[in-house]
Amino acid sequence: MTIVSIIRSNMAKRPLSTGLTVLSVALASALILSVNTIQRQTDESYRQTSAGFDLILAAKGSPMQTALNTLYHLETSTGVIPFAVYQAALRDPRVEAAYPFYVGDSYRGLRVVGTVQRYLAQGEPSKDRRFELAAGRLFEGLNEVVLGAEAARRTGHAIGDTLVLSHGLTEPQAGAERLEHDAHPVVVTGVLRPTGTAHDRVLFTDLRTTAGLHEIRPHHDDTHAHEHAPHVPTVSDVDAVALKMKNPQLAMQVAGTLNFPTPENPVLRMNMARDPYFGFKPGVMAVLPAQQIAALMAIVGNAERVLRILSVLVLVVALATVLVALINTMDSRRRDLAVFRALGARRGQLLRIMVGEASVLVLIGSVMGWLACQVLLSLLAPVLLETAGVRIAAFHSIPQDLAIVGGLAAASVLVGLLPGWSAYRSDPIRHLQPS
Amino acid sequence: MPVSAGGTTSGKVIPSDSMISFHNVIHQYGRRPVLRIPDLDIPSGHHVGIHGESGSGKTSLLHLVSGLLTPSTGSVVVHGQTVSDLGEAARDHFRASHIGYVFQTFNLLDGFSAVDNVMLAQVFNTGRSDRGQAMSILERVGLADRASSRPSELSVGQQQRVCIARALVNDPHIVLADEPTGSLDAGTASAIMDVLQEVAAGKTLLMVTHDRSMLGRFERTLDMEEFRA
Repeated sequence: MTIVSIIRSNMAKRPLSTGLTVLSVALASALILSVNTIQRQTDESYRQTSAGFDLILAAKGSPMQTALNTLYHLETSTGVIPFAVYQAALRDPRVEAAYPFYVGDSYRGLRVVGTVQRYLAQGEPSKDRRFELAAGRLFEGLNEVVLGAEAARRTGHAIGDTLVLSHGLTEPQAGAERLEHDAHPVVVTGVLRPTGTAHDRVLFTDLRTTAGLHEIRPHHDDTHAHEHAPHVPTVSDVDAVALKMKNPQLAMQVAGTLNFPTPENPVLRMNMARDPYFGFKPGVMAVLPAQQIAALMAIVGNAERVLRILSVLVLVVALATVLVALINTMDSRRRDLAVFRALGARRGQLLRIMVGEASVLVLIGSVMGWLACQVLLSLLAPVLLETAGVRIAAFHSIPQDLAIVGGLAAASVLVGLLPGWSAYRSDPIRHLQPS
Repeated sequence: MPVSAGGTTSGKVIPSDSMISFHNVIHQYGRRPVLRIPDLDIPSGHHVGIHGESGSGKTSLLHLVSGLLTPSTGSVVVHGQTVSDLGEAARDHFRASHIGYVFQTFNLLDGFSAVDNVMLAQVFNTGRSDRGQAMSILERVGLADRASSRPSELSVGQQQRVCIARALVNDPHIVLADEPTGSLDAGTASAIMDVLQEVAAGKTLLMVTHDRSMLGRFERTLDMEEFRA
């Protein structure tokens, strides 16, 4: 028998009130924990994915669309740009690394990204982290693919499997015919380890493979047998070229050349014309990923702010429910409290009982809410990965969650103070009289 | 202010064997005096029956002894301690360690078993409970076999025994009983009185009763008419 037993007994005496109060706290805390976790992990995921590049060169259009398409494998590209842009980047002494991308095909709804092997060998899918093979090897020749971890999990394919890719990025609508590249089946040579980014749900292949899928070559009939020399498709266009500059500030130089109007001043004009990308100016834009991510975060952040304010309001209502539940039961408690006083309970002990009860209600509700939040995150994770390219994980941010639950417990002390004060001030003599 | 037995308070000499001593006590509700006790000493170990009409201040007298009430003027000395001078927290502590309360309506808590109800008094006294001691006192009142029962599962007589056990579990010097047989039939009331007086043997017992037939059981009786203000 302890003060805790008294609190437990008080709660057990009013199962409906206790249950409903705990439920309201659980729902509110699940909401605030979920919003917080999704916001934090989304932010982390978006920012980390963008960390590898300083600049993206793409066809003129929406910079945000380009960033989403290149970094997160969302949206479509703004168009194609000449392969020569990539070649110019390779020659540019300001560029540390350049990677071309072409996206036009898919496999069971997963995007096939044409790039260079060097991207998987040296590129960084997230900050200070490289791609790692879980099995097999990187693509080397034509018609070979490497599966992202999620793509491998979802398709169930393994090394050596042959796949027929589909034209287009999405599954055809019901009734529409799927255009298969069945003349160019590809072979799985490797599977990547999870990166926690949108790259996990992608199939990577050589740029020449994607070019070959769309190449139109005059062909003879197959009625006569003869041997061809191995044909290497020509890459003429790409969707984007991502650049890592030797100095991130150099990205502004390139962006200035491509995005700012050509100066009328002949000296300035001549100066700009020396830039290796100047010739591509009419059809190419430069996108600073960090800027686009910041803009994206601002848009997402506004929605999150509203959601966060709402969840805080819900939480305040839930705490008020605890308060009302305790206040409502004060009348029926007064006799018990008076008996406690007659038995020698100090006023401070009564205060502790009431505050303790509020804390226990909120703590149980918060822990239930935390568990509900983890279940919700587990359910939402595949949907968010599919629709937003964001990987979130349950049971991931336990210290931050504990801080929120701790904050709620602290708030519950404040909530318990009012009924606690009422118990503290209660006159035992009055309530010891036989009714 | 502690007063040793045989000492003085407010000029009054406290007899050396006095457990409870009232001196020039006036207690009033609002501005209306209800009790005037110029001088009253109750020796240690005496069993005292208190009777009087409703509203005569019987229960208030018990509360003055326990420190739940403080007199408007005068002093109440209990077990050598001037209770009326103590602060509230000290009075609570004093009550928990020296006073046992038995109520007419038992005031047992429904959510707890009989033994838990007894242990409640231990928790408020020392912060800890001693199940063995609680069982021992339940055995003395003849309820060891019903220790796990909830109050609602016990007869009224059994409930009052639990209430007596709760009052005695901290081995108090004083037992205050406020009409403990008031809601019992004659047979049960007599049995409860036997139990109460047996377990409170050697302790100072103040018991309020309306039942004049009970008064013969006490070494001393107080008629509250004497103290009507």
